[in-house]
Amino acid sequence: MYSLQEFIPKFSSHHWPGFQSIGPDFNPGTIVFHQKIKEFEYRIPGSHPAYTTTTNLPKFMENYRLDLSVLCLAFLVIFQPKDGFSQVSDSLDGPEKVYTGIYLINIYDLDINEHSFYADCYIWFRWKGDRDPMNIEFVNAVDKWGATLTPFYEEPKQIEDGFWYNGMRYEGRFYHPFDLERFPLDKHLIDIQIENVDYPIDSMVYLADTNASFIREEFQIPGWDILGASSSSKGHHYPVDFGNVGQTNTDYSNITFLFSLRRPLNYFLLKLLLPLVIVILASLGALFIHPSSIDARISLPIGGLLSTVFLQQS
Amino acid sequence: MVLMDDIYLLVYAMIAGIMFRVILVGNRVAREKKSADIQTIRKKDRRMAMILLGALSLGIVILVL
Repeated sequence: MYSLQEFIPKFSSHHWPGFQSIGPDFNPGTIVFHQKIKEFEYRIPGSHPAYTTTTNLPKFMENYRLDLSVLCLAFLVIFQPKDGFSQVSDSLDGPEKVYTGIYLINIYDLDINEHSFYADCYIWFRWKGDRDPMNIEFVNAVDKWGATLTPFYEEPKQIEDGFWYNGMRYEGRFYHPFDLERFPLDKHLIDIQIENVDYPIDSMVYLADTNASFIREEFQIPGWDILGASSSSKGHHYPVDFGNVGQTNTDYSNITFLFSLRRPLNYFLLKLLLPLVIVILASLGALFIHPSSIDARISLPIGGLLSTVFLQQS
Repeated sequence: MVLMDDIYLLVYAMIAGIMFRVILVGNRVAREKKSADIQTIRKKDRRMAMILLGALSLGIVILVL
């Protein structure tokens, strides 16, 4: 481990000269490089240990880890996370670290009008410690009466390296506000958010497991292209005490699994734009008819106008 | 208003432009009868069609990007 103050003089001059321009007043907080850098942490100065940003490095970049670490540091210095909704990671002490992953089996009933979708997935937890992370709340779940939750084991199972392991299969309906401003070229990041019911962020932190988000290989949603999956871990600040006077800590660790979808381009080109282009060309044809044929010339754009109204309403 | 509505709006504007041009030219031909310069009018019509098509295509590209 290096502190940032130790790290900068060693590497900044020949790896990234511009780094020194940050100035002597810059308070960098704590930075940790693991011996073999697969991930890179940065803690905001004066913040809770749990408010730490982590950047995972892809495997192929391991050979370039040093340079990349400096770049990551530069990025984090420029774009420091804001208070109250910050990235979290496995900090040095205090909160129990729970590595969490998801395997998506199905997404169905994607309802743009109701702003919801159904998901069927496996979720697993791997942790060291006495606190059981299984008592979770799906933050954006709706119609919870219809959800099914089946745990892997009745009691957590001990696995390699002293980790405890358990998980569940969950099927239920989730809320997602679909933004249709870019329809029919809209992309959506539908999400499944998890928080612990019992333990706030200073007791338990959910972190993305290695390759935390998987989608079943044959999985498809008719009418949509699936672009990929990712996960992010953050602190979720509740700005109320829920009526519990004296309660001060209302931050909970939140892990979000994101699935990226978009409509196929063919839908826009063939189903929406092509008929419109034909109508446009037919209307323009009016300007190529002899000017003395007024009836024929006027009827084409009028037909085009009616067709356009019909296409828009359909 | 979604993206597709914006595209429809452009198409409506284009059709309105065509109709406006057709009415204008129709009135002129009816007024001037045999003295009307048909060849010039047709040339201007074709140029107008190209301009409208170009403007519409550009508008759609800007909206999509």
